[in-house]
Amino acid sequence: MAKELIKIIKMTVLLYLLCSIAYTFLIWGVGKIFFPFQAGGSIMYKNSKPIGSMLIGEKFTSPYIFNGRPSYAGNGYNGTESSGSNYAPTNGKYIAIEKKFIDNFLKENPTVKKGDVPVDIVTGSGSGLGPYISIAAALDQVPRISKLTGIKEETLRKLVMEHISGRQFGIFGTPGLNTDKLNLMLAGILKVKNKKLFKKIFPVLAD
Amino acid sequence: MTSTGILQISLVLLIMVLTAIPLSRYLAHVFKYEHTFLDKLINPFENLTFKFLKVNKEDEMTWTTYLKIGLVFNFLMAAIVFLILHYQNYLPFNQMHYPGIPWALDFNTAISFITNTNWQNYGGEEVMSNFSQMALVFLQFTSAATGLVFAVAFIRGIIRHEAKYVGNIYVDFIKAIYRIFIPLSIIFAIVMLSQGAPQTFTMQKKVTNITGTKQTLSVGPVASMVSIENFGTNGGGFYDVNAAQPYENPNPFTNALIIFMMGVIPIALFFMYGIMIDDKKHAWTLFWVAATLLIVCVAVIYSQEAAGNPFLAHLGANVTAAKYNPGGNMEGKQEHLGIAQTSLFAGATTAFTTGNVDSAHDSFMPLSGMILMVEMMLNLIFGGKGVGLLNMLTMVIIAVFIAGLMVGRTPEFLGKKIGKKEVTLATLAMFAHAFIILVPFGIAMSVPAGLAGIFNPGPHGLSEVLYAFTSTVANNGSAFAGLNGDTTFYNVIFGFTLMFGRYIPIICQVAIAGALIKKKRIPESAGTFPEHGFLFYSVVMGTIILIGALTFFPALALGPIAEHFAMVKGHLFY
Repeated sequence: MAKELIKIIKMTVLLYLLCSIAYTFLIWGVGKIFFPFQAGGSIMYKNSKPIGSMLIGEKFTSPYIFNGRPSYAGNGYNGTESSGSNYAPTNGKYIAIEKKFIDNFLKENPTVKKGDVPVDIVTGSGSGLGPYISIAAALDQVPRISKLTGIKEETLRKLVMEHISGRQFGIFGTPGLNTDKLNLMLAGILKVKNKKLFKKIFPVLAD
Repeated sequence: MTSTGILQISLVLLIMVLTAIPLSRYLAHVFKYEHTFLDKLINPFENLTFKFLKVNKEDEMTWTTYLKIGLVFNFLMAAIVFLILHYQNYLPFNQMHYPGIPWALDFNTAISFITNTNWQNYGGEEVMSNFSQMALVFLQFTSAATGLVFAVAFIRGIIRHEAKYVGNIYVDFIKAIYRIFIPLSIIFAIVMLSQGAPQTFTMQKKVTNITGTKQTLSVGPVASMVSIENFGTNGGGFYDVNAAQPYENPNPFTNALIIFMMGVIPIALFFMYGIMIDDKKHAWTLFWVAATLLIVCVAVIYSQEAAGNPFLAHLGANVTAAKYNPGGNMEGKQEHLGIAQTSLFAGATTAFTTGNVDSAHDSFMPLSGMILMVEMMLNLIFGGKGVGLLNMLTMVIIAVFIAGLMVGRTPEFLGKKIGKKEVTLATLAMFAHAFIILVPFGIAMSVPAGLAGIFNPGPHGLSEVLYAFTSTVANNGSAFAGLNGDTTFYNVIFGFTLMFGRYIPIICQVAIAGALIKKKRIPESAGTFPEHGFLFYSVVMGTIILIGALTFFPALALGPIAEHFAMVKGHLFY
């Protein structure tokens, strides 16, 4: 067995170097050369300042812009603490929280009728970092944003419909809207329409 | 349920099976030491390795030597990773200065990864340095290869007769790593990278979003982990929530790709088995047994999740799928992946015992949560690397034994008489699985330290603990993640259930191979029970359902079934 033990130790060291170190560095090298943007976390820059990753949802709570789903990642969209709520469907505390979310959405968006609140906009995603909301959830926010910003409802509705991320290859997934992208586009419209409000809501884009 | 949803599910499953067929031929060539198209590329490395290890390819081993070396090798690898994690503060790639992993959590994690489980009592991005994550990747390769080579040894036990040797574990192991896991992982890591999975040695990046809110993003060598995590049916992700974190699973296409990566090798192993024993009809029958179970399970999950939570509907949310509103039970699910793909993912991750999750299983509807547990309790719906096939064959041995009793003949399995020893070992493997789930589960439910970890009230709390023991013993790794498992009690008890759940069945199964290999092959006669076709399918399926249902039904009745009926009655738990 002593002879075998030496073989086992040699194999352990060899496979460690190969599977942990060499393999990781190989993929890192491929990323460095061919996919530097993705390898770094798909981070977008505006005025050479990092404004976030298009893959990771951001905390958008201002009523002037499109809001995302509730988030249980840290204190909301914390990129270092991914987490879902883990609430069971029959947990009384969870249903009480949901009542608050739903009532709040109805209050903020009075054009939406009770019974019509899109379920995704009042529930947390699996990671608390998903940037996507359903088309209904985006359209339901249009009248509110229009009223507050003075941008025509029609313009906003068009914006939503033009930025739907459809099913990939026509089949995979569910159509929805990336709130990171959508709010960036909204900022573009607001910049032309109302410079003062634009500066107030999007301070990072203003300077 | 929508037609697009059903189409998505069918398409992914179909592509998986269609790829598994040619892949199985390749796998069979690899383990029969035959010529493959990668020879020119890999032979030089392989020969160099054997020279370095001083391994002679011709030297074969008895089942006991094969098993012993495998176990010692496993122990050593786990020990090394334990040390790396414990002393990560002295090692490179730790810009965030994370402290060493405390011993109880470390014990749990090292065992969890060497047993191909990847149960995680930690959030990867919150405690692990990049160097530690890379060490876990090492175990993701080797634990997958361990299961695979034991399955190969078992198959040799069937095809060889009046023999002694089951193969050379060094050769099988190196071949599994060099010819299967490394090439596949490299290709698919690059695909994941191109789709947005990061691959960097930086740990965190700070950004300020357009409204001025600051956000810190966790990055690291994610792409390289995601591919082996799934090809090795490991499931332990870089992030706390695994593939629900967009960096680990950027879009619906990668979601489908991950499901594909999880399933393609376990399915191919069934076909490889058919090629190696030279009885494809038998393998196809077993394939249909597993496929039927998978389809039924996914259908139940999808229908439950698509129906949504009646309490939310009552409060004013719209849970019915419409043109612009996907509806369903969206708590803990990513919007763009959708209900259909999330349901398939959950069904697949528990069938193939990967344990990777793209949604919060704890927030699933009671009955779909139950199905996830049932899949892990059966642990043979294609299953993890190698062990799924082993569990299926163990069940087949019990099935032919029962069938033999019914007709009053000595049971036979692929031309070999099944004696007392084989049946005893097979029963022991099956029994151990149930025993190691249910007994510690009972203990945890009756001590304060066990109850303290529960997050959700009522029967769902019981489900959380039951799910955890099932997942650790089945070496799955997914969780009802509300349960706080990072306590000394759970870290230690799970450490043991992980270990026993993995190695006791494997030891029994390799011992069966050792017993079978000595036997004479008896020619087929008119009285031979056919090992393919509908009759055989029914006998195996009946055995699976009887054994599975009888063993676990009482525990399930107390958890998810009770919760479901309470929900139907409109009862909430506080």
